[in-house]
This record gives sequence, C-alpha cells and structure tokens, in this order.
Amino acid sequence: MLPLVKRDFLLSRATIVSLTIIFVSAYLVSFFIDTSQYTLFIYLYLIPIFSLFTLDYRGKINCYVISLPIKRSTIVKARYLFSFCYTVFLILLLWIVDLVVGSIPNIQMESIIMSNRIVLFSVLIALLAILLLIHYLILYLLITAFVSFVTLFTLMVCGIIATAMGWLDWFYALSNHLYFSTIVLILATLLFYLSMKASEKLFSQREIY
Amino acid sequence: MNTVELNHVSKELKGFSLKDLSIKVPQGYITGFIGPNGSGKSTTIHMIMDILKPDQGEIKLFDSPNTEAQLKQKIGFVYDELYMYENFTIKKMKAFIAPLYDGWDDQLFNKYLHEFDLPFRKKLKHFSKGMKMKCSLLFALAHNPEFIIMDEPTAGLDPIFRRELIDLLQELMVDEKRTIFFSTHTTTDLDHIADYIVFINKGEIVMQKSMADIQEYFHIIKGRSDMLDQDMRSLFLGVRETAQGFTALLEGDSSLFDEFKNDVIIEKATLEDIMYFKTKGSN
Repeated sequence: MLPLVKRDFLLSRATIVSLTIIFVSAYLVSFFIDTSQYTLFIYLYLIPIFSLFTLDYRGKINCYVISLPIKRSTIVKARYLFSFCYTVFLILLLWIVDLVVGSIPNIQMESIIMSNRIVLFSVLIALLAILLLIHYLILYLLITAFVSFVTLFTLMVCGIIATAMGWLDWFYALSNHLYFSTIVLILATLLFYLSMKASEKLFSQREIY
Repeated sequence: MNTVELNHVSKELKGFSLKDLSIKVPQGYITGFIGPNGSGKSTTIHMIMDILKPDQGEIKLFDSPNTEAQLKQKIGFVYDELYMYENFTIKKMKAFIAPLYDGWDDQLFNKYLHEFDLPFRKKLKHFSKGMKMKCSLLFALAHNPEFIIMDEPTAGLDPIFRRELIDLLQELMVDEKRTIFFSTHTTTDLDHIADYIVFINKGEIVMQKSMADIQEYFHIIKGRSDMLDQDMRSLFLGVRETAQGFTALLEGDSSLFDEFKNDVIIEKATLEDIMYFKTKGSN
C-alpha cells in the first residue's frame, strides 16, 4: 500500500504546498477579520483530494493500477489512508500556526482549545467519508464533482440554517468539552471506516472505463 | 498448459457485445489477436486484466481466476495508450511501480531504459507516442514477466519502431516459458512471429488456429471471372471480383485446383487476406 500512498503524496505535493501557504495566510487573516474561517478551510482542504481524483480520471489511472499486482481493496485503502494523513497534517499545521501566533505579544486571538480541534478534525473526517464514498459509488468525474458539490452545498446551507435557528447551540456548547469531542471523534472515525469498507466493496465489483 | 483461458465469456456494452468467447492462449508461444477496429480486442484484453468484468463465463490466468491480484506479478502489460499521470517522469513511475513487483530487476530496467533511449527525468506529457509506448514496454518487461499482454502496441507507430518491437518480442521468446498475447489490426506485425492466431470480428471468435495450420490450409486463388461458377464459388470463404478477374480465399486442400493450374494462381494467404475475406465475405 505504501507505494500508492507515496504516489498520492508525490502527485499532491505541489497542490499541498501552495494550499498550505493559502491556508496559513487565510487563517492569519481570519484572526483580524470576523469570518467563518472553518467554512473557508473546509473548501480549501478538499481541493487536493479532488485534484487527485481529477488526475486519476484524466490519465485513466485506475486501468493502469488495476493491472498492477495490487488488490482493488488496497487501492481504495491507500486513498483513504492518504486522505487521513493529509487531514492530520492540516490539523497539526493549524495548531502550530496558533502556537506561533499566540506567542506573539499584543495579538488578541480567540483561544482554540483541544476539544475544538478534535471536533474540527472529526468534521473533516466525516466529510471525507461522505465524499470518498460518493466518488467510489459514481466513478465518473463530472457526476462525482456535481454530486459532491451539491452535497457540500446542502451541508453548508443546513449548517448555516441550523446555526441561525439555534438548533446547534447544544453542539457548540458541548464541543468545548473533551468527553463530547471524543465521542464525536469516535463516531466520525467509525463513519470513515464504514465508508472505506463500503468503497472497497463497491470498487472491487466495479468496471473501470 | 494454457496461460489464459476464456470459457464462454459474454459481455454486453452500449451498442456492442462479445458473444460466447472461448479462447486459449498456450504457454510458451506468441498468440496474435487480430480483428478489425471495434471488433472487441481491447474489451477482451480489459476483461482478461480484470478491468472489465464478464457478464457470463469465466476467465483463468495460470489456471486461477483472473481476479487474483498476485497473478499480475507474472504479467507485463502494454495498452494502446500509456495510462499514467502526465506530470510523472520515468523516475517517479519507477518509484511507484518497482516496489509492487517481487521480481523487479533494476539491471534489466536500466538495460531497457538505455536500449529504448528514454529520458529518466522528463515529464511524460512531453513524450511522443513512440516514447510512451517504449515507456509502457519498459515497465512491462522490467520484472521479467512470464506473460506479456499487449493491446495494439504498434498502432500509430513508425515502421522502424514496429520492426524493433517485433525483434524484441522474438528475443524475449528465447525464454521458452514466456507467453505473449499480442492484439493488433496490423496483421503484418504477426506474419513472421506468431505461433497461434485468434481472429475476432463483431464480438465473436471467427477463427482460432496455429500459424502452421493457417499457412498450410489457407490459400488465395486468383483467376478469370468466367471460371467462377456456382460450384467453385461454394468452395471459397470469400470472393472479390474485379474487371481483371477474381481473387478468393480458400480454406482447405489447394490440390483441388491442380487441374486448373495453368488458369489460376495459387498463393499462400497472409493474415491480412484472411482477415479481409473473413470480414468482408464476398463483394
């Protein structure tokens, strides 16, 4: 599986480096202007994952990879593992940025506690679980992109409405508690695992065009 | 022993179907897979490689179901295109592919890299079609495969490279265990190297024979049109008539025409002749 994960890193290196710069800049800006930093991050965060799929489709890579001595399930697992590692990298990066910014005197910043970070990580993992499953369910670039966009947009609109209506107040309040964020993390990880298993099953039966 | 066996394989695709294919690719020989464009060669190869799944029937590689990923350790494949990331170089491809093969041979890789004169650090998007094909071959051969499967490797290539490829395949066959399955619609590629021929047309196997049988039993008969009566016509698999006379494909004993030997020309049929007449029939 490692060569496949390494391949994903090689392919995404340029995108990740450019996005890291954008991420950090956007994150820093968000300290000074009141904006929904998470929404912006989530969209930026998904770009390298989608660019990998686009590259796969453009080069008909799955035809090649399936002809190599690799199980179809390993191909799927590798993509999930890469996405997971990338998410961990991103969360750590944001943490480091917070630490650096926080250490600068005279800068007022909203403190982000550990449980918030865990919740953010869980939300990203849950999103990935949904989007990766959509990809392996459809396996056509344009339809996948369209369905993913509609799903993301719907989730975002639902989130905004729920927040505005105060339906998520309990969630935001509880997300400051470590025990709650741990439960959210466990549920998100379970969803991620189930999504991976379902994708493995789908991909092992699929035909590649 | 057969390296590949397709037993009663059928596959329905949009506007096209493969019907009840039964193919045997014997170990240690070169089998040519011929047929006109759109006859089902690539679909068959994609099914053998488990990229597409048959609707019915079974496919075996080395006597095991073709879905077993580990079997691909023994296979080198070359498709009609190089399905790889355009921004990859051969160096990156190697870093990705080499660890997957137990039998990867760096010396062999470097030998072919040098022989094919390929740049190690140039992006694939800057490669010509010939270079991409050589690149496919490089990765297909560097792990010493027992079975090499090729889908139209010579399509769109210049005659020099086609000749080089044929020479290379002959060289590879020094290893008696090695099997090559070579799909092409350019039958002249196979005239001198194939041991067996499988001919597919409109999704059906039209002919499956050894090259020795083909050379012995298939003949082209040329003669004057006025000689062509109903009895003679029924002997042929296909007849083409022009103002100059007729040309026909005969399968069977050419001594039938001994009594006309002053009036007809009898030649050994080439694969192209067979493909032409079997596809077109008579005009």
